[in-house]
Amino acid sequence: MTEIRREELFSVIRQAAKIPANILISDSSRFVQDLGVDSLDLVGVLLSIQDTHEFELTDDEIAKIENVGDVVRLMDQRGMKLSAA
Amino acid sequence: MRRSGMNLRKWIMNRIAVPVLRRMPIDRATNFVEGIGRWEYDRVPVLRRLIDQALAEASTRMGTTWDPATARNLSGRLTRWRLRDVLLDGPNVNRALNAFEVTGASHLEDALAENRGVILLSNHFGGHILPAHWMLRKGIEFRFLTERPRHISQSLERYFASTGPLGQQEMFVSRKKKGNDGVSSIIRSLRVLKAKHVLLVASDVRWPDNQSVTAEFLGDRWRFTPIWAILAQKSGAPVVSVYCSMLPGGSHRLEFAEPRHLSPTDDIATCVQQEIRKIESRVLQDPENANDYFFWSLDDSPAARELRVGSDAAEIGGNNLTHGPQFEIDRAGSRVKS
Repeated sequence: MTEIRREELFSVIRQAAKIPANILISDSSRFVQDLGVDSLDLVGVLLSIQDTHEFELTDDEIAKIENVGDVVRLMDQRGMKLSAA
Repeated sequence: MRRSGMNLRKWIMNRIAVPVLRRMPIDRATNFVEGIGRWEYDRVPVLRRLIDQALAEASTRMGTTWDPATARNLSGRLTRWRLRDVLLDGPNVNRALNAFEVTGASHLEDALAENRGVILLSNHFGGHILPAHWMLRKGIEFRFLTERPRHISQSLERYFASTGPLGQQEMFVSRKKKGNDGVSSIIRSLRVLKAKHVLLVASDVRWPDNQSVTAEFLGDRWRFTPIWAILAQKSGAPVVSVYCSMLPGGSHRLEFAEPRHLSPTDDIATCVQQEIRKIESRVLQDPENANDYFFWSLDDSPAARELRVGSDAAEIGGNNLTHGPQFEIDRAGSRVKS
């Protein structure tokens, strides 16, 4: 099982969506309501995550993503375990 | 455009006339179809008034005048346009390909040779489905980023039946879908380009979402989707504009423009407006290929009002827009955070 630091994932999200440093990212952060991510940003986030961690999300999975935790869960399902730090 | 009396005409066309027309030489079939459209102009007062009004208002807004026969000929072309590529259908490939006068095909070849996929930028001027039919006949692999087109040929229907990660079925978009469908569309499109295919997408689609940009067209301001420009910036794929004019006698002029690339710093709204202006220029020169563009301004439905930008229409960035509730609205390029 691949171990990935949560902070690394959050960093990828922050960079791809240009989220300011003062906005906290956690598993419960909703992309739109909490992080101010619009559809284009979400494309960038998902592509960055896919490219960085070499996996691909299906259309059905993309349709259901609302928060960071949804992405964490999808990565976990693919055998990528996210550690706390 | 109003559809009074259209259902019976459609039924007659599709069930009776079309199978017969497909067996005729294309020039005779086309002349027959356009003849029906001109006959309707002469004998259906509601239709004649609608076309006359649409043309007159466009003429006033654009400060131009057209030949008096334009309205009647436009009616003929509209009937032909509604048949999409149906008249070209059939097993005889040469019959179909001989109906095209093609210029600039080398531009498409050059763009494909870059191996980054190609964004083939179509529009609703002239025979808008016909570039797809031509590519089908030439064996060029493409996907259509569009709402599911209706009344197309059986050949295209079969081609569009593909499913899977690069399937056409998944590429069709819908104004009714919400959630992350826009995100999925972009990702699917990028996959198509990564696979070095042609992505056929129209530059003149009015769309009510938070990514839409305002552009002026025929004297009115509308909200257009800039998805083609966004994809061009994200993928680096070359953009080739294509225009397909319906000509008398059943032939079509298919023109491919030189490939161009959008840089990440190009202003999206400007790119969209430039493309819309090119279509407008063609409409002014050749109004008989304008299809339903002139009727946009007559449409007072709620859907149309949501797409029009003006004093009594939805404003860009206004929170009264209801499409895609999950996404924040982008006001003039700056992000609105909740």
